[in-house]
Amino acid sequence: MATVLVAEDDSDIRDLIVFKLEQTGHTVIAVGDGSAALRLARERTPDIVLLDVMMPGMSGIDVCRELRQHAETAGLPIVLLTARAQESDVAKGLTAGADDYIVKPFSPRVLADRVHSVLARARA
Amino acid sequence: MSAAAAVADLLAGLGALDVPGVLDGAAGTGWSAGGTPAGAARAGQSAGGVLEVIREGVRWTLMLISALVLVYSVAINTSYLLLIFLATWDAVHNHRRLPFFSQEDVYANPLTPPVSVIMPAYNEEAGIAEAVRSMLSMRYPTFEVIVVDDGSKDGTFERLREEHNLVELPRVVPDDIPMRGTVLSTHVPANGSTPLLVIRKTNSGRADALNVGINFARHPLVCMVDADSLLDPSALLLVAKPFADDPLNVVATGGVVRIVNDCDVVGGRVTRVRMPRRWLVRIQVMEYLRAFLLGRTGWSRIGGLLIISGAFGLFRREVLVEVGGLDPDSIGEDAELVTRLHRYLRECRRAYRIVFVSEPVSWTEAPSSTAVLARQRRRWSRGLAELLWKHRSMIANPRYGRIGVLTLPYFVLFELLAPVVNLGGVALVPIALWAGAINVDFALALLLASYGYAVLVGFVALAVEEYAFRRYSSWRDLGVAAAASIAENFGYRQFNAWWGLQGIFAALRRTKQVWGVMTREGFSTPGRPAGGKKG
Amino acid sequence: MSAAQLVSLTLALLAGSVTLLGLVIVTGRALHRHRDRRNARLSAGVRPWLLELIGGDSEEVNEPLLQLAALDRRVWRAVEPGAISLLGKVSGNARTAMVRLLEQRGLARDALRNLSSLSSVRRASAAHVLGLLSHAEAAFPLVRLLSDRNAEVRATAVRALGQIGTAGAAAPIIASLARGGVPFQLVAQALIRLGPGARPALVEALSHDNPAERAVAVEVLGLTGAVETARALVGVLAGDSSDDVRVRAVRALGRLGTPVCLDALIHATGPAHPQAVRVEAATALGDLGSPRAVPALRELLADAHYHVAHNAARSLARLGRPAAAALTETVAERAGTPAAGHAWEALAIQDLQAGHPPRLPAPVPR
Repeated sequence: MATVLVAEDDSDIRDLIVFKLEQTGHTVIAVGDGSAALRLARERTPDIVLLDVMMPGMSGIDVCRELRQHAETAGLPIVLLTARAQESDVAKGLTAGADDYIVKPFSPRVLADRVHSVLARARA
Repeated sequence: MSAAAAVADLLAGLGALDVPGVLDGAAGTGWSAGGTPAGAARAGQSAGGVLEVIREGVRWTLMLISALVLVYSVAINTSYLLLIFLATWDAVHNHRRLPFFSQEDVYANPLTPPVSVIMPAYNEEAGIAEAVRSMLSMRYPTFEVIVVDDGSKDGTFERLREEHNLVELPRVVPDDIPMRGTVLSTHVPANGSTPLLVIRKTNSGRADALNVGINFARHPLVCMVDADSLLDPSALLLVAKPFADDPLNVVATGGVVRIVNDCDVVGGRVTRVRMPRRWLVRIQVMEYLRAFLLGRTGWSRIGGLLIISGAFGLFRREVLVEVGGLDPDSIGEDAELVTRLHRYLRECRRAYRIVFVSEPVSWTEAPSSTAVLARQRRRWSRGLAELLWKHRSMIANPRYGRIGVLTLPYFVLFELLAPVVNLGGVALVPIALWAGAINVDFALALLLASYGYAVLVGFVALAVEEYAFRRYSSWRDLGVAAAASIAENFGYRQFNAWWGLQGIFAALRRTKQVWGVMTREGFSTPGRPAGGKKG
Repeated sequence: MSAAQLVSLTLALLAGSVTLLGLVIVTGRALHRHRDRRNARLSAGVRPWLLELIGGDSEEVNEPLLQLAALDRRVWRAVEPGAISLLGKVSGNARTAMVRLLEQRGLARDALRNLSSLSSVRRASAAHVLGLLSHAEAAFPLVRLLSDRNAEVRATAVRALGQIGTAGAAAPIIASLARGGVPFQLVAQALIRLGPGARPALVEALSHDNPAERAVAVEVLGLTGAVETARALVGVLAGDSSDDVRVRAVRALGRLGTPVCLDALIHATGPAHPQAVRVEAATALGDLGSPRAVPALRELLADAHYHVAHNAARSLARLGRPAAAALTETVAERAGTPAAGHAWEALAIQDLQAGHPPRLPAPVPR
């Protein structure tokens, strides 16, 4: 299975995601803000990154853009979590280089499926 | 009846007529030389006539003045207390609705109005990149950030260019509001998507820079922030909420400003709130809490909010354009703007609301040296004096509603004149001692009572903070806050009054100057010989 | 009483009250901390069950559900706020499981009873919970709560009705704006959630007396893509007495984007309309995204009002290739005028968005 880096400032959602992904058999690294996510994405080389769009300090979109700009993380699959179903937000995320996005409130099972399929696509 | 008797009694006490030991055991130890009636009588007998008559006259005048000072001090603290109670009402109300109304409601709402954030910057090389980055990652659906580089002489613009890969995007310069400076160039990030606009212009001061920013703003709401203040991530969301809730009436909202000195700041965000290390700043924390947080909440509650801090205010753009933007000649341009908004909207007979939001926070660095603090306070007091002079026709004028009959008279009486009365009281002491009009012990006791009242007000403010906001989490901070509200009375208060007085004098001098200029301009009007040049 | 006694008494009173307040602050904080710690401890023990309940696959749900449903009241009270806040953050199976737990714990029953409580905080929080649970039976009592004397309660009722999605509640929800105190955006959000069933009530509200009601109806029709109501909105644009409502109608027409809308918007940029309407119409034509708007927008580049011209340029920039020709021509034909300046800006934006450096040098009209 894979190593998943999760960056989400809401502890409820973070715990839930960690629980669900660990249950599915992944190894999860969870952080609460964008800059920590950026650092760990470089140090721990996860297989996939889950980023909340709205985090204090550095937003998920910022992290996404940074990751895409560096050669060693440019190919990393990225899934964004957004509280807003608005097109502009989603478009912003996809232009920043995200592979997929999940709108909150979300179903944990759907989240696990999405992670799985993005991973599968990346490995193919 | 009993109140009148008590006042008469107090007057008698101040006159040192017959006071048996105010503080236990202290009686008789600190009497001033000519302070006892017996002493005065003896002096009268020996020197005879004139001197005694003068002394008697001075004594009565002093007693009257002292009584007035006393009443004033009680009144001012009571007014603080009233404002705090109003604020408490508001805080309880907000506290209860907290579980039902989340920020998500505003964030996910398609009707939340887009905001143009305007950040004027003059020689902000050190912090500008961080400030803009933190602004761009605010939690808000749609907004743009407009940085107005007001002719900086350092690398302010270069920092931004490197950080955001800025390219020049020429724009036609809008002129909704008259501007003094000249726009040199406009720049946007090369990625074409980051909502940032950087305007370079010739130097013309903060107010004019803001006016340029307002002209370029594309969104219906305009947020004015200082480049050196930090905002909480959800600050914009909460301060915009009143606009989304009541879009037809709200024209301006202001957020609370707190002091950031010695707090932990990571990535442009305050992550842990702490009491500052220096007492000078600690006292200011308590002062901000009492005056800026609770005082303004109280005023907002009764619809008489006069001051929105320049460090964090949100306005409806069209109304700003209608009133002609900020006044570049004003020292306190933020307060002047709000006063002018009130004036304009009242004169147009429009229904409107100006709201203070106590929860979102912008953080600002407070002066930690006496010299800087003195300059700031002189400026504030001068700004207030000029503002009240400029809009004097509104004072006590029922046409302007609560602002006219309540807020402005209050500001004249308790904000502008407080330093005069405070220092007047201090200056009276030597004269009073000479005239024998004061019983030292009694005066000290009264002074103590008046300070005690001020401390009580500080504690009430602290209690409200503890109930509603709980920003300072450690026990030590709580102790320090309590100590600071006591320490405020010894030295800080008096110096503050002194600086305030200097500000008022500066305003008086400048008013004269401005008039002088106007006279000279008058000479050069057509039809008269050109007698002078424009100032 | 003599002056001295009075002053001594005052001093004593002040000292007393300061000490008392100090004590209140300290005990208040201590109690609060204690409660927080206890609640944290209690809910930490139960949290894995909660996560398993909403994160697990449905086959395993029963075990944590039974455990949580059987918790004793003291522990549950500590867990409840966390459970309610989780409810708002999940959807699908997870949500169903959570709703089932909360119903079993009697939340809906208690809330229904509390709707008629004497305390306004209780009524509001009951409405809040029923909304989160989407408890359909609550729709009727909630509609009654729309005329509650407390504004907060009315507001929570509005939101709850939106979450429950009873289309029949549309008319009373709109009417709740008349009394004031109910947030405009909350009403709009609730009406959006009600879906197409609310449209007849919304169209009817277009002719109400209160401008706030008309404004909310216009916004919601635009945001929910009610294309069949485009003609009614054109009528609002043409004849409403409030400029604010007309501006909103312009925005709504830009979102609906039918041919009727296009014609109305082009017309709205004409000189007969208030500036605010023209400014918004210039933007709305960009939202609408039809190349048929290009000639009209091109004319507007030379408009005397800065924001009309500027927004027209921005809209042309969004219209892509069909607009590019109009922009280059304007630059050539009107060189040195503000119109050319606006056109340059639009071209530069198109360049940036296509990933090129923006074209320079540009004329600098002042």
